[in-house]
Amino acid sequence: MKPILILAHPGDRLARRVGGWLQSWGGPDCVKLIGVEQIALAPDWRHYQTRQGVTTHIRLADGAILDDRFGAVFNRLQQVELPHFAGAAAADRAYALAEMQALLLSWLHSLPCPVINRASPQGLGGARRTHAQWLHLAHAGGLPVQAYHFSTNPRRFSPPTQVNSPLLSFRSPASTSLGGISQLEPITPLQIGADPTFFVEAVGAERRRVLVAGERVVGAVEGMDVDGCRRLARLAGCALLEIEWARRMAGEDGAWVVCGANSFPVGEDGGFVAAIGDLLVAEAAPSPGPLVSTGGEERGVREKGAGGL
Amino acid sequence: MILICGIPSEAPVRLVIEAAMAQGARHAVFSQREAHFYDLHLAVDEAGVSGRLYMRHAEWRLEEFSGVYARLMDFRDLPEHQPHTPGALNQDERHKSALMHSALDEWLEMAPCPVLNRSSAMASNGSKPYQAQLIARAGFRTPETLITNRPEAARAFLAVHGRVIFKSISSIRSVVKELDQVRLAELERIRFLPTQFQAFVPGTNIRVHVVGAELFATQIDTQAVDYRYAGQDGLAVTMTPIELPPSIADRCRHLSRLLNLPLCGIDLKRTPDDQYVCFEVNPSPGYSYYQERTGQDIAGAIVRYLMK
Repeated sequence: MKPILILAHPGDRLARRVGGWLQSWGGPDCVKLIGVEQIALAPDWRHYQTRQGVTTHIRLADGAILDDRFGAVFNRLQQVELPHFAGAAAADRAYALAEMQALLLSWLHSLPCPVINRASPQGLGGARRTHAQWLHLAHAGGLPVQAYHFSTNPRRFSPPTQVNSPLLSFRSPASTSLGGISQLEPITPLQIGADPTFFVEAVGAERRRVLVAGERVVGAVEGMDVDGCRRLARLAGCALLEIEWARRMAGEDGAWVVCGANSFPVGEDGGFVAAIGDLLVAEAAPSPGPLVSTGGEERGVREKGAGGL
Repeated sequence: MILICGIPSEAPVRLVIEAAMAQGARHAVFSQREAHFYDLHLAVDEAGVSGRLYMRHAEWRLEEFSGVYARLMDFRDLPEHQPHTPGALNQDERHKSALMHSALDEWLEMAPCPVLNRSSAMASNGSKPYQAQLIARAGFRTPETLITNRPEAARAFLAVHGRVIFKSISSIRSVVKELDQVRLAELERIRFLPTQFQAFVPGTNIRVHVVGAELFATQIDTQAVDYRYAGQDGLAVTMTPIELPPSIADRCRHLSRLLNLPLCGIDLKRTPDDQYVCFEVNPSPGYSYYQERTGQDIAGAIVRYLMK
């Protein structure tokens, strides 16, 4: 089996744990962990696009060469950092970061081996979605979801009163991001006025994270729609997807509902680590066809890119 | 009912509004500069996505919109969002305008109706070499390209191709320049940041606007390396509507579908040996520049598409 490449940020504990799992499984030569700054600061980048396809040569500062010897990539890249532009004007720094981000996306997309999760124009580590978009996708996948409302002015547009499912209210302090409820400040009903307000269905304190890793679903308990989890991952175009569940407080005997998802899993549970390791090993092994179909225009994780690394 | 979002006085938006009026199409205009006066309610629950929009004393259910034309500039660049300038919004108004824009964009991603275009699809233009790989998948030739931070590799590329241009990898500062003797002397600077070089492709520039299944091809004649900036170099530009060979027209439609961009501006060059090379796809084309010079009714096609 070809070795597995892990691309990660220095503080990525899940990436390190998966790296450790792979080393335990196949020895030190079966995995190589590379930091984002090593790639971004590589002294020799040559990314060719020709009529024959895409080829890339990267020589890192320590002399290591990234070539086509890898069987799979565990892609944990998110935000690029370019320390040598730290002192540059803000516009120049933003330009440099956008340029490197654009190059990394093209490179990751061109890799001939499976890349998990696939890089996307919406995020190097996989397409980012807002909280509402994840709930919408979960609903489209047939999963029950925690109700979500946003109103720029609750005095004009207030969410319907739900006696059996009380809504909690939040406001966004300064951020314009609608990324997640955790970024919001809870407010009391008395504080609701004409300012932008978020409302989410109150759910029980018990939370569960479920990981979809290829066709495997880890961490699900009775009452959760396991096939629906796989459908959501396929709809999202993710080989790896973390789904957060909570129990509905009323109405359906505490039924489980989806209250969030993340294409950049962070759970370090041993079962998650093993599932990711297993998936990477399976993807790195030679196989005749797609293992995970992501549907539509999205490529299956086994499907090959246009050229070589 | 069509929703038209952007700056109403900006030519592409203005032309869509005028086309909607000419076609008698019911429409509402979301003016970015008034966003802090508007209200939006967006819900995701067991019933799916729903919501309401309030603008200028009128209210719509989001489900009423049959299609959306969105040419939204970054709200942070709006004059009203610049503190200490005449007409600047106060902090609360800026906050509301920002959330209004974010929620609108969020809804456009989830809306079941046609949207020209969704920001997720437009993001492919943020990496030109990534987009080039998709363009190649659609069957188009793309320019031979090298992205490198090694001056010697760039010189070797120039030696092979004879004439080379360079441009940004991302969509920022997207100006095409030729790698001439002056630039060659500065080539050491690329060691700090990989730079994109492309073989110069001789031939005639063609801009193809795709609107659903409708196609508008425009031939551009100029001596400038980048015709969009010909005026800055004192060079003339002439534009002529043309018919594309059916196979190329089909390829353009296929590319539009592949990129999930029902409205797009495809930049082609027809080489002296009659080959078509595709440079990039603009996901939010300033089509008015072409429509006003050729009379091609691109805005009308946009309205027709959104009314379907």
